[in-house]
Amino acid sequence: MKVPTKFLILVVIFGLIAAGEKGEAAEEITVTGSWSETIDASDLVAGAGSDLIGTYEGYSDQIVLDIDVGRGDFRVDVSKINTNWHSDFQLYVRRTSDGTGDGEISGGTSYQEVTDTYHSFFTFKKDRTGINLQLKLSGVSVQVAPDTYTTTVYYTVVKI
Amino acid sequence: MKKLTIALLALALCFGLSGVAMAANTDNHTVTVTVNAINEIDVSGTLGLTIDSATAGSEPNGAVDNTACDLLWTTNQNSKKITVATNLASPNFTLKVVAQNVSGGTAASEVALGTTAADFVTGIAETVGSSDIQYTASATAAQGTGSDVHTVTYTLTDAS
Repeated sequence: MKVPTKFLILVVIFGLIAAGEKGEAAEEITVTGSWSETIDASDLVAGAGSDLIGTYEGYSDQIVLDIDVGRGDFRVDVSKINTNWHSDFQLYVRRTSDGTGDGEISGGTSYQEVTDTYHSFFTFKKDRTGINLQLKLSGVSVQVAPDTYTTTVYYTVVKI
Repeated sequence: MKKLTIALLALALCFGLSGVAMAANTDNHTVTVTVNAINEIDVSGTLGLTIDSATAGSEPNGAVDNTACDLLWTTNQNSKKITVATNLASPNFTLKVVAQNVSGGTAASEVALGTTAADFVTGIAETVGSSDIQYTASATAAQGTGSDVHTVTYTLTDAS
């Protein structure tokens, strides 16, 4: 079967254009850090006869986001996928710094619950590095059986 | 010509796919909460009971107190109970104990204190609990006079 040379050239050109567009639109987000909390008898409000402290916070820079997007209007969505998570637990996240970069960044500075479905977290323009996040856990009590509970929090960049 | 065709198509495909491979618009971190076993118990108060009265023709009146000593506990585990025992192997007089006004468990029947642990509160599970402790001392005329000094130990332990 003979393929016309002009057709081949067109295929290559389209391929290269597609590659270029995908490369430019490749919103890249990098998450650094994790959060581990150990709860034991020292977390009782007032020793024997009292319940556990219900709420725990990570450091204000527990998680750091670096985002490479080029320019445009973007949004970061957040959700979680549980490995072994207690139904009494609620996990919250907030943005504690703007990071570094040109363009605006807004929203996400108040705690919002991280659920099993994606929710809008904050919006921004252009590349940003060093966006600090803080996490909060609530719902802890003696009715949570001893175990190791794990969830994975996902951050996704969306072009808007 | 055929080789050129294959080469050009492969080139176009590689460039196209490389753009896809570079896109990483999602990243994640883990959150781990480790809850350790918590079994805390605290007894407060010191008590002195004196038997010093009787109705003529009857055995001496017993001495009772249910206000001086209290018990508090916290556990995040199931199937627990509290036992009670004394260190005094051969008391001169009888000292009985029973839990009153129990929350977070079920009072066991009144028991005469011995060096073998006896149930004090049962049915404890993932709870914060408390109770008053009622001690009743009794003596017969034939037992004469004297003093018993008990160190009473309460233990939060597995029910089985």
